[in-house]
Amino acid sequence: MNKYIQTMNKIKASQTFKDDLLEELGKERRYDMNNMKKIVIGIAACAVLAVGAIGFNPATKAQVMPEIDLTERITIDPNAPSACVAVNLEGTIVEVSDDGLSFKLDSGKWVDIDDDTEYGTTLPTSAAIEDQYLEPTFRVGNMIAGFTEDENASRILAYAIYTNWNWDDPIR
Amino acid sequence: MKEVISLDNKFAGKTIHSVVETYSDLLIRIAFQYTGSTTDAEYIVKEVYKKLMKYRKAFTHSNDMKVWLIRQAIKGSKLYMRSKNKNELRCLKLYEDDLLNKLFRLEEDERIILFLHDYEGFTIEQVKAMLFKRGAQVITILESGRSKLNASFDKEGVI
Repeated sequence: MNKYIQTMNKIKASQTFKDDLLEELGKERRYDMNNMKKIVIGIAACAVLAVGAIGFNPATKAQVMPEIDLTERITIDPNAPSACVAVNLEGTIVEVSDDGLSFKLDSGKWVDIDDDTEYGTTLPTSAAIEDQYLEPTFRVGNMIAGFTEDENASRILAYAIYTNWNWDDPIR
Repeated sequence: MKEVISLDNKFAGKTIHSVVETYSDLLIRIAFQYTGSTTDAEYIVKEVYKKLMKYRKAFTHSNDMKVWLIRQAIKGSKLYMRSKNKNELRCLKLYEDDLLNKLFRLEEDERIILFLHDYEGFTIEQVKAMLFKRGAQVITILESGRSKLNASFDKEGVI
């Protein structure tokens, strides 16, 4: 067995790390589920209030309304498409590198694009990718909106670019 | 006894408990190639698992999940090193194991390619896909890493 393999074998995840990790992941999952419950309860409460408000409104009372079975009308689908993207990378391009894979924003930050950078959004409510505000290249003057995992780094690696668009002279 | 979190076969029929048991060593070793520290590596791997929990797609094959985890570990490590500027700190480290001292004199790409190919047994094609590199590039980097590492040891070499 060579030295390299022996050395690598010594680098391991400790049992404490695994146990703590599983506990943390379990907590996060429970937290997410609780949040989801709160959202569903909140939506249901809003719906009940809205129906109540309409019911007590004299203008609507004057109209002859058929009897409504609320249990059938109010359906909450927690899996219904609903999404938004986090944006912490915004500005206008003022300089582009020779290879076209980095650009400088008007904030003075350089942003790098790599093979992992997602281009456009694929959320359930998003427009088709060809209809999004995305140009094929990065150009000076283009408006950028995106997301990075570390917005304070000296050079930012873009995790995703959601908008790359020149409003005056766009290229599809 | 820790709770076993079942997520409806999202992880290729495995529970998260089993995923953590199966892949943690591999992911820690990958992150270690970049950070040179098990503490930093643990932080990165923890973030990878959090991403996995929030990942919206289900994996049907465990191999797809393994490759996804490796990609996330590499990406996370690069981002971590870049954001924290840990490169400078790492240069000051001195390991008890002399091989690690020599290993961390290699380029980052040399270390990860050596690890993925020579230790984990991934083919050149697989390494190429994981690192988004051309095949010839991977072979050149692999040979350069091997020769540098072997040259730093006198007799039988390391790899």
